[in-house]
Amino acid sequence: MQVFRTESDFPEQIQILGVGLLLPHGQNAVSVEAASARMSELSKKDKDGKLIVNEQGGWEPLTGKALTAAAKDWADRINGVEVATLKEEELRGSGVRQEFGPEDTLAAAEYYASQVNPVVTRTDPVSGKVVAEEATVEEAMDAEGTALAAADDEGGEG
Amino acid sequence: MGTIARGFGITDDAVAGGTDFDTLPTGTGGNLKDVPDATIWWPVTGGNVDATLATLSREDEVRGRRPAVSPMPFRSDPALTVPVNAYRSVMEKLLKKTLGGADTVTGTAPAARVHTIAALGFGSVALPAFHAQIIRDDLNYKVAGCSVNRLTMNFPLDNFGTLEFEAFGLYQEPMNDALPTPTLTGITDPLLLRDAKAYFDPTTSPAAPGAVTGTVIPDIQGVEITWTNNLTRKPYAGRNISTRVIGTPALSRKLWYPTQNKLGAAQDVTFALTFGNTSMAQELARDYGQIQKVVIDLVGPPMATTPVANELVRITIYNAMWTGGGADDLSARDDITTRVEGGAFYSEADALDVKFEVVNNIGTALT
Repeated sequence: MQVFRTESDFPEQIQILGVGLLLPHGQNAVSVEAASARMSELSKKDKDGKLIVNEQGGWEPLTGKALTAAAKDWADRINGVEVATLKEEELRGSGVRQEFGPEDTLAAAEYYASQVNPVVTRTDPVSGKVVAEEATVEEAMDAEGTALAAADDEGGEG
Repeated sequence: MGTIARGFGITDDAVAGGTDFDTLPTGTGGNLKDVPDATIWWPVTGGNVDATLATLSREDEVRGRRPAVSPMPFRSDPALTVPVNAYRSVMEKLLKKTLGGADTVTGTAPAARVHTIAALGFGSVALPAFHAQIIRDDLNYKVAGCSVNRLTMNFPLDNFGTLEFEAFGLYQEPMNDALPTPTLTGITDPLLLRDAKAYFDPTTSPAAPGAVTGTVIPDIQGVEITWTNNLTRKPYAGRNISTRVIGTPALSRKLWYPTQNKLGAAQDVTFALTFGNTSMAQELARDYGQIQKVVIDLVGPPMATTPVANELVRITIYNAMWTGGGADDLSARDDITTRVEGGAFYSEADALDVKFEVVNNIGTALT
C-alpha cells in the first residue's frame, strides 16, 4: 500500500486538511488511495486543468500509475512529505489510516505527550500541597486522583 | 452555485526579489500566467489583496457632450495584508522573508537548533520572495513575486501574540486553477505575552537558548515591534505589461506591473513597550535619549528534543532609544500605566543591530 508520511528526519507534524494527520518522523501515515477521494491534486482533470466532476457531484480519483505519479508530484512540493510503499505486515501497528476520523487529533495529542514528557506540577486541591513534580501526565493525574479519594474519605468521616 | 473554500498559503519563490510577469510561464485554462499553488498554509485570521489600481483620467477632455469620458486602466501594484496568530513556525518564516539575510543554524540533533536570522545589508537589494494564494470561496487569487514590506509583531496583554505582514507582489490574478489541498505544518500553540520575559541591559545575554541573566522588567504588559523595509515599486517601460481581451464587444485592456520591489536603503524598526505602572527611569531615558539594550524572550510550547527544550523567539535590540510616549495622563479613577515608543537604531556594538533568534527542532536553514 502506498502512503503519505513525513520523512524520517522531519520533526514537525503536518495536517493535510480534510485528509489526515502526519506525525513527525514518519509516524501515522495516511493511505494515498483513501486520500485520492479528497485531494484535488489526486483527481482527474480535463485538458484545461479543470477537475472532472462525476454524476454524483464528486471528483474522479486517479488510479494506478497516474495516482502514484500525482501523489509523488504533490509530495515533492510539500516540504517534509514523502510517498512510501508499505507491505501488509508493515501496516499492522504502523498507524496507517485507511479511513479518516476525529481520532486523528487524539492520536496526535497522544504522540506529542509521549514524546515531550511535559513538566507537570499538580497541587492537591484540598491541602494545597504539591503532590507530583516533574511527573508525566499520567503520574500527575494518578496522584491527583489519590488525593481526591483521600479527601472524599475524610469527608465521609466528618 | 458557489462553493465554500477558504484559505491562505504561500510557496517559496526561487527568484530573489520575486518572479515578475514577463518571467512567469504562460498560463493555461484562461489564466494569463501560471503561478504555483501554495504549499505552506497558515491559519490566518483575515487577509486581503489590494490590486492598487491606477487609472488615467480623461474627464477634462472637451468632447461636445456632457458625460465624462471613461478612464483608462493603467497600472497595478499588488499588495496583500494578512494577520495571523504568532505561531513559531509562521513567525520564523516571516522573519526570514522580512529580514532576508542568511540563517545561521547551530545545534545538533536530538538537541534543539538555534537559527540566527540576519538582515540584508548593502550589496543586496532583493529579499527572499514568495508566491501567495488567498482563496475566498470561488475566488482563487494568486499573487506572484511577493516581498515583505512590513511585519508587525504585537504581543498584547489579553490575547495571543499576532503577526501582520504587508507584502508587495509583482503580479496578481484571480485564477481558474483547481483548489489545492491545504497542509498545516508545525502549527502547535501560538506565542503569547504571558510566557514572555524582557530585560533592560541584561548582565549577560548569551546566544539562545542560553538563559539571559539580569533583572527582568517586572511589569511588562505589552510588546510591539514593527520592521519596515521601505520597498519601492519599480515599473519599467516596455516590461511586465499584461494584456487581456475582455467584454462584449471585446476590448483589449492592459495593466502595467512592477518589475521589482526595490529594497529601501534604510529600514525602520520601531517598537513599543507597555508597563503596568509609571516608571521614573524610563521617563528619564526618554527625555535624555538613553541607549538601552533590550532583550525579549517569547517562549512557546515544549518540543520533542533531548534535552527537552521550549520553542523560543529571542529578540535583541542593541541600540534602543525611546522617541515618544510615556505615562498616561493624570486621572482620578483610571489606572495609570506607561507606554513608551522607540526605535532600534544603528549599533556600534553589534553588526546585527537587531537580532532575531529562533529555537526549534529543524536542522535546515530557513528559506
